[in-house]
Amino acid sequence: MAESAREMILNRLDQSADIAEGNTDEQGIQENAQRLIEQSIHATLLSDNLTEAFCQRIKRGHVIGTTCDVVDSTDEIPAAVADYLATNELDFDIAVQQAPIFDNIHWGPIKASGAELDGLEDGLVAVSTADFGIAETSSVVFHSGENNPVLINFLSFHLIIVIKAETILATLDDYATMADTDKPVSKTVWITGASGTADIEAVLVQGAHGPCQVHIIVVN
Amino acid sequence: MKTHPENFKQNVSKALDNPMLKVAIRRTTDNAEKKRSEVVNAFPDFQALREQGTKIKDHSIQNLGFYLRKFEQNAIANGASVHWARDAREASTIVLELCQKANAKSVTRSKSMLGEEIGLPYAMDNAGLNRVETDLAEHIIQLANETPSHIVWPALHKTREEVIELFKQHHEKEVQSEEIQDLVRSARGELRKKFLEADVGITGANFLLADSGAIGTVTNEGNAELTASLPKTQIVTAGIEKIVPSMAHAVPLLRLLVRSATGAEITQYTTFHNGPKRQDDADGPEDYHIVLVDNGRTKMLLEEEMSKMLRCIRCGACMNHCVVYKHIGGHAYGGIYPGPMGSAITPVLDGLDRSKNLAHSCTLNGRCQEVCPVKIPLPTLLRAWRAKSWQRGYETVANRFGIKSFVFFANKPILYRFLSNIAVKMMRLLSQKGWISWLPLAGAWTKNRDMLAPASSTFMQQYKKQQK
Repeated sequence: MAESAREMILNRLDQSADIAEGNTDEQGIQENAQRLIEQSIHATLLSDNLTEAFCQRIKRGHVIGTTCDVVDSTDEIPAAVADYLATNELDFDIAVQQAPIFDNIHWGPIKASGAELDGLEDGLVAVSTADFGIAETSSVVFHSGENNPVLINFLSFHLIIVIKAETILATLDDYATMADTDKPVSKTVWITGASGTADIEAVLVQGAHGPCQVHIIVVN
Repeated sequence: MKTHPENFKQNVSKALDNPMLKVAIRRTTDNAEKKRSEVVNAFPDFQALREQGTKIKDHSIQNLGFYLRKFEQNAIANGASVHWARDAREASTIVLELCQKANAKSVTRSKSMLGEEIGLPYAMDNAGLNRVETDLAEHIIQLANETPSHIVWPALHKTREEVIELFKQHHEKEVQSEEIQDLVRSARGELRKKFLEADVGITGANFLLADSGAIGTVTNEGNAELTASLPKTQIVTAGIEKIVPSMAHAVPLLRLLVRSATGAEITQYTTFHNGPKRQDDADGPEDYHIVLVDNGRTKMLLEEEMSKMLRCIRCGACMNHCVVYKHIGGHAYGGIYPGPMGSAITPVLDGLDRSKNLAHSCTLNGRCQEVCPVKIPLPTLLRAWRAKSWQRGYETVANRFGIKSFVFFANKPILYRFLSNIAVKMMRLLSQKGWISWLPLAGAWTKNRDMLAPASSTFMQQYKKQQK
């Protein structure tokens, strides 16, 4: 029987592994791999306080098309959202992700609807919540799940992301080493700023396919 | 429109005859060069990061078989179907069959150089599939019926005026204005509908994570996520060298990749896709396939020097910093991958006999190696291709004669010095204001550039003078 593509490729690789020096058993390989990431070589954080470090990068304009706001409790989320909508002269009309953090929120003058895919056209403002923040890059990490549609972060023109201050990690390495490999989610999305492109004459334009502007509300 | 490496010289002449091309190329590459240097200088210890990234790639490649098996096992456990392809044809056939099984009419693609390498756009068009390129640059070159001229900015050779024309011709809604922002909006509207209609979405992969079976994509537009989350079926095509032990190993490479490619600290979107949607997931594909592609990689691994090319993370820094690329652009190279890294890979993919001129076009100034985030010794690899081309007898009679004559004179120092003395004098006679615009026997060289006039005396003459 003809050798399958899989067998052929793996056979060739085994052949070269035999030639390679330092070829070790599984445990040896894993120990070698671990040694490579013992040191985290990352950009300097702008503050020892992780919330401060996370927000400082945004305030200094390091994150494309992004603004941020820190509030003391979830009760203050509607006011922060209203503030963003008013500043950007947007309708008080939002699509909110179904998540525990939004459960007991009274939106007041803001008309809040569920995040239906069809409704998430350019006009609407989407409000989502992320699982983690990362101070090194001011990224937020979003895990797919039952009430966590990935697409809520991609379809609207304006995106507001709420994260809890205690979920902010220092570095990308910190997130990666704790990421669950036993029961991984189907999509893990790190978002850092607004959707952008520099494909025409190297001119940066925000809002290529996804949001044109992102506003992050950190809840202390 | 497709160029070929064997026509390198004609391709170059054509590129140099187009004055707008160089302007367009330099807009993007000069910007990338400047931004890269700023972000690298701001980083605490970029050399240490390069060292770490290089070691991670070397370790992963050295244990490729081990990690690929682990990756496959974990990916299958998470619901993926894993396919293996020896070469480009096998890979694109697998993808086409998967599209047929999904009854696909419309298929979205997010930019993947591996997809280009396996000829996927061509295969899909031939099979009658409605192919929708979703990366803005890929969208532009699809409309223009061209191929990418850069691995990060495939349409950098296009001016705004050309893009306006294409969008006016092909977009359903009229383009609002000729501002670049409105061009991007026009593409957004045009492509949004197509995202929603697609039956299959095809992405590439920047990383394959062995310990979880996930694949990582990086984009700034968000098109990979829309390509991967909206259609019922997701297909990932990836070169086997993209494997790393874990997400923690991908992180240093991501830091290197983005800084080297665009001068940013991280891309706007970095997504790890791991299998089809779970039972309760709100969205995501129902059917999820990964096609692992060899296409010359195992062959490269067996060759000492070329195996270093498997470190390549496709950042494009080598071409952004290459004096040759900046003049001729990507299409002149005629292969899938242009610039220094392309000149090293194309002989593997297309054969050295067809692509021997690529290695010769290099000035060996070493810039590519300096900026390569994973320290690939590109000039050394290109010199090795030159040597092979000589050994295999691919060099033209004129080249062989030239090199043999040089060897003849170089072995006779007195004669060599005498002749170089005369040559220096002759060249100074031909020069004007320090530059030579025409030289006998080197007309092809001076056609598109001037040569710097030599100093008034040779090195040996000056050396002797100082010894006195």
